[in-house]
Amino acid sequence: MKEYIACLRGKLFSIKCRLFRKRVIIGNGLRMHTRLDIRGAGMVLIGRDCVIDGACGDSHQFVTLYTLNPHATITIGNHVRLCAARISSRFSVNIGNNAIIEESGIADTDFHTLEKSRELPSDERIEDCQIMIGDRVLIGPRSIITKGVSIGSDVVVGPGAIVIRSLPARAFALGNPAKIVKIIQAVEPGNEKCRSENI
Amino acid sequence: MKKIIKKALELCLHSPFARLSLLVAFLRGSLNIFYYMFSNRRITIRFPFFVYEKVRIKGPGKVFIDKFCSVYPNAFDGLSITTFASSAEVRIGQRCNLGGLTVRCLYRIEIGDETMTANCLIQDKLTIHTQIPVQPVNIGRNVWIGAQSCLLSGTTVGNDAVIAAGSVCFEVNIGDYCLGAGNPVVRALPIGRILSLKDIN
Repeated sequence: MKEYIACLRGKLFSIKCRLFRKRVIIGNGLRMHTRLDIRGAGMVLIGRDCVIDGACGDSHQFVTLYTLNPHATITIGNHVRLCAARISSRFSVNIGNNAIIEESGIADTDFHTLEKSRELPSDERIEDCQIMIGDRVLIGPRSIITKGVSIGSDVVVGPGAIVIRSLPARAFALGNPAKIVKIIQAVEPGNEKCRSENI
Repeated sequence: MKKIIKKALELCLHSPFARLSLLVAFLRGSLNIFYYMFSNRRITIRFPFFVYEKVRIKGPGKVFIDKFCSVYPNAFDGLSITTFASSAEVRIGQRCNLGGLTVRCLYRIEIGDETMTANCLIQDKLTIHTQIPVQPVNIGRNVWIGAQSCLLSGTTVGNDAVIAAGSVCFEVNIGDYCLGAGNPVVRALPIGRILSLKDIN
């Protein structure tokens, strides 16, 4: 029953976006369990069969996708699950297929300079600041991903980690700043089933 | 026993409306107990239970909360417990202050008596990734858990220990009367030594 309501909600939201918001493109089969908040004039691309969900046991939080200027883009791949993730973009944020992102913050800018005026930083460039997240990545709750980070595929970012440097494929990172605790062995073919289950 | 009754009577006479919030909390808690008694048999909460803020318990697992627990408002957030499997088991001891606590359980979580919690997260799995084995979380009695901290799988905390605000514990053993701090916590410091250092200064 809940799945049907989520499907219906997703369909209504995609129709609303098609009519009124030309810069938001959503693929088929979106399921929405909680509110999805999209603000700003930038491009937002969401792939097929994505799931929008709240945090486990906390009904207040919802998913936010903010773009800060018209050139900003947020690209989300197919079969991605967003659980109360907060993504804000000034340049570009890319998320691969089959990723699971829990209640974490992802921002590709510092928002302010260190000087007293606290203006928007002018020396940021797209090459230094864009965020790339690979396929089958798991990002734990209460973690933060800062600008210029590229995360390889099959990475696990633990809860409470603050990622400031790029991570190679199959790493498991934890801490502030995030350090690689161990390298995960190759994913067995049987594990694919487990990933697609409900959290 | 006589002394306690005398003190309570004196307090009531001195300010009759001061204990009203406690009465409201007691009634709210007993409502919660009856709700979970009839809606889900696997959740048992012992009488009395004091609720000042929302309590949400979900999932197919077993949940047991012992007597004289109270849920205070902490960062406008109450107690929320989520279990993911029918074999999951959450056990909370007597006289705990459970404000702002979030529990996510897949295997087993035990919290001892008289534990104080702030706005924190306890979960015995990192994510649903199967490469990392699920291990139980054990917390002793009279533990103080600071705000914004995460206790993850494989953590054992001894009696009378303190966990600092903003710290993340993962596969760490924190002994009796020790302080765990940092992200992630590498090793625990005994509190007795910290207090003795303070005395010298």
